[in-house]
Amino acid sequence: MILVSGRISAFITLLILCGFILWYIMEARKGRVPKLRRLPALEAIDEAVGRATEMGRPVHVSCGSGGSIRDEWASQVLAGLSVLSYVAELCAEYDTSLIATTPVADNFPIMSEIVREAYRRKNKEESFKPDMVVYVPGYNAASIGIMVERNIAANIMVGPFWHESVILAEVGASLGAIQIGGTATTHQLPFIVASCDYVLIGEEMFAAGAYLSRDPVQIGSIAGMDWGKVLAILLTLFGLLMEAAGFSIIKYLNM
Amino acid sequence: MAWYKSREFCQIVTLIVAIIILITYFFDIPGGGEVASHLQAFGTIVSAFALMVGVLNLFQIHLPNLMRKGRYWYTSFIVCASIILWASIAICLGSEHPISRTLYMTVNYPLSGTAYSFTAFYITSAAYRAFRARNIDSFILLTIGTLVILYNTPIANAVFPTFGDIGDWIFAVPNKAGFRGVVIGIALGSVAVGLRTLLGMERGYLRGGG
Repeated sequence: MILVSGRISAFITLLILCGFILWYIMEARKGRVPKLRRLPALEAIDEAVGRATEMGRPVHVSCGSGGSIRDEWASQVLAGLSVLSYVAELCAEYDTSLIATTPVADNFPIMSEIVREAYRRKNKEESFKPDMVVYVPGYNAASIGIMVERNIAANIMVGPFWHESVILAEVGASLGAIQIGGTATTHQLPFIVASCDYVLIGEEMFAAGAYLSRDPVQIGSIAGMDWGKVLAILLTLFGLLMEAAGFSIIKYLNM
Repeated sequence: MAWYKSREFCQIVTLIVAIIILITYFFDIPGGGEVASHLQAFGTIVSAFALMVGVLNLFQIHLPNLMRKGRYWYTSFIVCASIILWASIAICLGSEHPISRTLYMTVNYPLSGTAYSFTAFYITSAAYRAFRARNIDSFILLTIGTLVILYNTPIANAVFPTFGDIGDWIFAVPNKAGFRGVVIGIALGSVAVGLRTLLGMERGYLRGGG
């Protein structure tokens, strides 16, 4: 087995990052759980569902307007699914109406099962209805229609988004819905920030699953991620110094 | 619950497939690429079945509404009729047949274009709300936004060439620095989610439950 040329440094970096994450997971298993800073957007989910319950209006959840669980957007979709699972449990607990939409066929059966399972966990399987999760291939028009017709009180959008993020968020704003958005699709981040009340920017959304589960072992993996950031900063500084000294390290990074 | 529906079985399948894909990506193994492409082909087949489930969901929602002539029954009729018509033509004649292509080009394209054009109006209202100077943060956003808009207008550049330099600096320095920070965070987050999924800790895709 020979490492593919051009992917050697990526492989080494991946091993180092996995090492950091695994180390903190093991530490968490021993009971040394790192402290997590507050993520207002995730804390606001309870508030959003509570408000929708009081108003007697539904909560809308979207796990992205494109990108499926089997392509390069999978990590974002997974983060969105974790949020959906949590929201569905809250909705089942408070008997709040839930509507989850997706334009991606791959994600639809998974979302449907997640919501059904959340209701089952709360012993409210009879309250689950198939139209709680809807497959909407023409996402723009259909999602606007659903959101307006059902008069949603909360709009939670976490996942990979394209131009639909603006449309969804603006329709939500026009309905007076409390809005929580999160994406790692960098060209859509400004629109989410502009339109939503609470935002998960980039990496924050990847912490959603661990944060919401409150599972110490999962929280440990986030601390590992932070050490990855320290490594990135150190490498940047090292590269800067080397370039200033006349030594190019780019060729080594492209190995 | 049947063993093949159990969470443990799904986790084992995920782990094996992910390890194969990772190894074939990083290591030059004879026949490895073929195995990976076969696995990805399985994904495409599963995806086709997922699409069928999605279409069934549409019928499950729209057919009863159509039968009882409920609210917006006519849109339910359009949905059901379109699916049946398109599926019939594509199955009987093939997706490359001129009729299939004409339907696609004359119906789907213009409708998608129309839906996309909504974005312009929504961006305007989003920009209006974002650019209200309510606090120091939104004031900075408003100032930078105004400079970038002026940078993109030919007349501002013609009258005040300095806008070009300011705009270039905004894009090349603060914008790029912030953007790279976000991208590094996203890359690390993706690795963490991937690893948690491999270790069976991120169970969102396995019917949830933390």
